[in-house]
Amino acid sequence: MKVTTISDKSAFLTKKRIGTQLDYILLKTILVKLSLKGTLMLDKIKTKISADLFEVFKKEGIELTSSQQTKLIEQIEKISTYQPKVGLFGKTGVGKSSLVNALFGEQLCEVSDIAACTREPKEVLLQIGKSKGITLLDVPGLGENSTRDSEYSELYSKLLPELDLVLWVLKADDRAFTVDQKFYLDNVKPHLKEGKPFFFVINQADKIEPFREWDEVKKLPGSKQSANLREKTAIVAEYFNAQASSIICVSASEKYNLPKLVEEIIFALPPEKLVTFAAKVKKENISTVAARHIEKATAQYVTTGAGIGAAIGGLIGGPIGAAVLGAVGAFGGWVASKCFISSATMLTLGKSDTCEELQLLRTYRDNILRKERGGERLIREYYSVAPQMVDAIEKRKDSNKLYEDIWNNHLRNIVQEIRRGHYAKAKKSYISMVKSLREKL
Amino acid sequence: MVNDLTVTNVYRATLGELSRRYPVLEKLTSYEDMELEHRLWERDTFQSYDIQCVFIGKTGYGKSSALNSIIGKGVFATSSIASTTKQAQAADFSIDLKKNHYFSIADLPGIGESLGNDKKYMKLYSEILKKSDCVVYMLRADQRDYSIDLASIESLSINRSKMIIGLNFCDKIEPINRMLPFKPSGQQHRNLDLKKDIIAALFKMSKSNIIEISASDNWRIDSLIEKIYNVSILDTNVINDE
Repeated sequence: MKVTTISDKSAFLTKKRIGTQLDYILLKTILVKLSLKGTLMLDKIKTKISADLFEVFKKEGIELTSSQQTKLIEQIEKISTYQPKVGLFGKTGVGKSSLVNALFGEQLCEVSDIAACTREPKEVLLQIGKSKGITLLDVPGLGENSTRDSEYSELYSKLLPELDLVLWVLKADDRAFTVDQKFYLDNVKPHLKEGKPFFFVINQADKIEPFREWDEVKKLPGSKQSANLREKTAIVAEYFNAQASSIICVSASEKYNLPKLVEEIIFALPPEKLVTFAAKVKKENISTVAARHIEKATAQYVTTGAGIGAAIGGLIGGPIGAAVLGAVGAFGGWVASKCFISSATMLTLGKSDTCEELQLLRTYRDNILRKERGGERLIREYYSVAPQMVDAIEKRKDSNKLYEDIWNNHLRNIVQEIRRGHYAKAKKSYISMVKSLREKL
Repeated sequence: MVNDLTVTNVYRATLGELSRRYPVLEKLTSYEDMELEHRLWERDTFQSYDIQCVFIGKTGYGKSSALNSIIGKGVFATSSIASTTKQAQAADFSIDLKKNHYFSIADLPGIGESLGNDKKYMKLYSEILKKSDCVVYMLRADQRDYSIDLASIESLSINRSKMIIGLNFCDKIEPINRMLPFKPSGQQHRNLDLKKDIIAALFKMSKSNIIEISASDNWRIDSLIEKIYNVSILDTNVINDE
């Protein structure tokens, strides 16, 4: 069997996940329970995170005064709790919901093949903890029918000023733009403030003609498709009087060019808003360039706000940048930053179901366990017992303790074994977990 | 008025050329009610009676491609990116040369591309529909934005029994299938059927007048022609009265 070490985790993470969230009912519940406990530890953890951070500054030769320390932590808290709002506009059927799912990696919106599925303006909240997150306003298609169109006009004009980022989604193989053009000019452009991040996303790039040229293995357009995408970009630029740089061709379903879109967004967002946005973007969609910018811009913003920007200067790119970003993540409760993982694990895990541990378990399930002999059956068995188990645990008075036990006795080991590439051991532990839970409940 | 309606002829042949491909059209040679007033056209040097079928709808929905697929030749200009049809163009097939009887299929500019052109083209649609026997309104199986289509059909006041919806791009209905030659998968079949139900309800028309095709794959073009024939010889106006 091929042993995958932690370093190529990202490679198998990019493969399409076939499973649903269903079998995570148990895991999620455990983690949420743990986080409730974690909340009580919040102040302690914050103190620890802060101390660790100041230590990094000290190592770099920067002694912070106590007022600088306070300001620094204030800044970090502020940006770690910012909730950016993203609005996706576009005709029905252009793939707004699919785009959201592809960018953020969760089935957040219903995706329908046939009829218009977004019946009313849907505010999709990517929840991370109780108050932090990013709100997606997946508005209904403009073209669904004429009566609704006029109602939406008014709605959109109210929504726009609230949004931090607007994506206007078009379909690559469609050229009937009247509705888009009219709506953009009448209802959107007037409310777009100068400098508000705004992009035209030409989605379904794989379907531009000749659509059979698309390379389904490499997920890339053929040469005629590439030429047509360039021509399409020019046409969109002309129609909407937009800069070519604000137009990006992607395919949500084929996961084509999403990192490029994310990169453009990251560079367009103001520094105090980009870190909470980036935290929710699927890791595979964040390029190295984007990641570096996030770190640098965040650290710069935080230190400048704390009045120590000048002292930091060139050190931003080094350990300080990473430490600041880690602290922001830990404060926000959504980044399993290496430096703080020991103290923040409980808190972090519970706050996000895209945390590394869950990703790892999911990836293991879909890419390794499923392919092994008997793996499929095992997973099915787990599907069938997990919901009842959660119910049974919930009914018990000692449920919190039970969740903790599950984590300590089983899940933690499984995660570690997967990390080390000891899949056979992981499978054994997995089986024994299911078995022991069955006996206990 | 007839005067300001210009239809450019881009192709002329005998009906035989078409009916060899689509035998149903052979019946037009024995059709007796040709010389109706609305069918009278002023041509360069003579008058003709034409059974006129027009293809209308949004730009990029494959009107020209469908017509080329019917004829089996690339007589109407097409492009996958920019719109190409800027005026009414027709391919004419002579049913009877002595009597100047024709079966004519026309390609009209597509709407939905820009506000300015839409007004102009809708006027053209309205003019030519009065002189037509069958309207093929083109929709796409892989799109679901209908506001322009519903509004256009409403404002043109098209008699539903004289209208066919050509549901094009069936090869791109989800789940997309890049196989050649095109053959819809089971799921695509089910989705097409569902799509037809949705369209029939939305456009208030009979499902049997919705013909799924794929122009680029020459898929089910014969079914479209058969429907065009049946609708064309129906003795009612294309435009509702009042």
